[in-house]
Amino acid sequence: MVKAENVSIRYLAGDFSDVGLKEWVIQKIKKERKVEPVWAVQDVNFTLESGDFLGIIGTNGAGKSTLLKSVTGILEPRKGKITTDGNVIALLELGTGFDGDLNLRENILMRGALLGFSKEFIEEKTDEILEFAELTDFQWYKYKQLSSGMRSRLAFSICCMVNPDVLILDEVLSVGDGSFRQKSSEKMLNIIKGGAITLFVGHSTVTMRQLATKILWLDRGKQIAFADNRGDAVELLALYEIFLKIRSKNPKAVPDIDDLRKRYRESKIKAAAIEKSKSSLNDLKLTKEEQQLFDELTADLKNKLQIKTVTLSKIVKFERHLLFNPELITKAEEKIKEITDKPIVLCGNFSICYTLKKLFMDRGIAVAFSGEATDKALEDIKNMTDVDLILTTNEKTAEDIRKLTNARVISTDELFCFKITG
Amino acid sequence: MIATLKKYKFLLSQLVKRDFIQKYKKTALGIVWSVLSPLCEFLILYFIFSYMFGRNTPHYTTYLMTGILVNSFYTSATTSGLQSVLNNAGIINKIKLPIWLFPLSKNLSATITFLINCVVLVIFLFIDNISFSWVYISLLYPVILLFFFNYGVSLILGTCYVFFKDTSYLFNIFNRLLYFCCAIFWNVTSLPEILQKIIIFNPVYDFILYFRTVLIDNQLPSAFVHLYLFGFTLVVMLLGCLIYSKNKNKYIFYL
Repeated sequence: MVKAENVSIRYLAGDFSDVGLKEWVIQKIKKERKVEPVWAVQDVNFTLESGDFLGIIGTNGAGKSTLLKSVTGILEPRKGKITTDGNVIALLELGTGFDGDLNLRENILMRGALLGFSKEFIEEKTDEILEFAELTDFQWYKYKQLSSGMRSRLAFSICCMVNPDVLILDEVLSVGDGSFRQKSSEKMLNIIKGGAITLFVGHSTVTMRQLATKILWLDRGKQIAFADNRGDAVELLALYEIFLKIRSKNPKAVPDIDDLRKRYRESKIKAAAIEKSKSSLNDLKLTKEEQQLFDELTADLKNKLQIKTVTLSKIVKFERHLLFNPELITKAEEKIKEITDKPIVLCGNFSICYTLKKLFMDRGIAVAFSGEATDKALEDIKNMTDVDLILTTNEKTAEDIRKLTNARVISTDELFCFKITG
Repeated sequence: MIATLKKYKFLLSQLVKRDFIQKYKKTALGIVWSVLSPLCEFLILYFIFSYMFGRNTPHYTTYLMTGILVNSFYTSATTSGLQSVLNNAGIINKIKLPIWLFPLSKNLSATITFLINCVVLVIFLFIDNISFSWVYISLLYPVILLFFFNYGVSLILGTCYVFFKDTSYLFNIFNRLLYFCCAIFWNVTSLPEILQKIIIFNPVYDFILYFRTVLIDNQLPSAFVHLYLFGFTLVVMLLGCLIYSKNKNKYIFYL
């Protein structure tokens, strides 16, 4: 169990760490010693039971790493308290505690000792660790002779093999290349699902969406929200994504959960309106105004569609690999076929358009044009008569095309890129 | 603390082992250096000073060697102890460990080196025609005290060093001064009476004195020396623990 009660962590900041004796005395005399305590984490509360996966979200400087440091016990909270059971292992310290001049076996012993295990335990595990890391042939090599990939494999294997009770992950679930990546992420998932408590810090919400049972949102040290069940966790992640979008326009934005929730509901309603289906809104319990919004949107959309511009900017920017996910392409295909049965135009990034064109052609969608938005291409698109759907891969191209046509265009945010968001 | 020590017994042994490997890596002679360096110092001092001080000091070889060994035990233990916290910042920053383990491991390595050197000292005694006596067993007393004394100094200075990097230079100068105040190669009897009474308050000199009285004069030192060393060590050790425990939560911000 990991339990945090009213945890506040104070950090010392200012020009103190490189101060020599002379400066220190002078500053003391002049009383201008500039060491300011900064509250890096304030009043944070959460409880984790075995099997929990806590995703900690928040922008840079939110206090995520500081909080993790106090979970591992390196930093003592100034107020409140954190209790942990069992051995806590952090993968963020992957490279620490290894010595270049010792061979792998000695390094495993050293590293195991640092993690607080007994000699017998580590010696018993050494062969297993070497085997898992696929480094048995290298066991007598010095650590410094290993490639960086081998090093991370070794460190990872040690962390996994000792079956941690509390696991602290920083963005990574796996290391190495190809087959080892697969193997290590499987092993990690086994540990996570095998009853360990996991604390995961990251900016990417993809992993969290899959695994998180609880979500803690920090902003500038303060606890914005804590979701303690799967449903709330997923919703909170969605709110966080909306906040990130707001923050990219206004870096000083402060998360306001109620406002974010309102926007989240609206976007869901818009999506449902475009799909002309209310089924996805069943859990939402619409208010009167929201109900009205839904009706308006559905009515409005019916009159609008002349040329539809859909940007794939989301896919391109964040998850390009989704292009190669057949399931999502199928979704896109259905959506396109629902909108039109005429040829479509693909415009923007050349390679993405090329890939998409091939994929769509295979599925019986005719593509009238595919390529970059050069002046000539735009001229051609303008003169096309038998097209009513243009897909662009980025917002700029979409903007350019919008200028060309007089048709009313649905904005990209509203169409949600066919909801291809993973 | 005893329980923690038990838990980290294995880590401590690994750290000591690592100290030795790091110290003598890439050297052809390896661990032989830990014997060779005090031996060389001995030869140099003997060559220069044996004529000046050797004539009125009985068993000058043993006299000189005990001085060098005890002083280098003190110097190496405290100097490496002082740096140990900062040198392991990478680990301390990432893994939760009792920080006092690091100076302790350095002190243990220095003690082991000292014990190896004692073997050489035995050979010197043999050459110097001093035969073994049961009084020698009492030497355990200063060795154990010196270990705690060194550890206390390491804790005090190690803490200061984390906060002020100047500590290391200041301590070097202090040790240089101390070196000459320990009567390593010269004899106290050549001093005026009043200074002879003052130098007895230098604890490192007293440790050396203890060794010399037992080895050369074959008798136990005075009760004052016993008590003074014990008291001094206790004070240093308590001060070390106090300074350490007061600051241990602050280390992390400065590493």
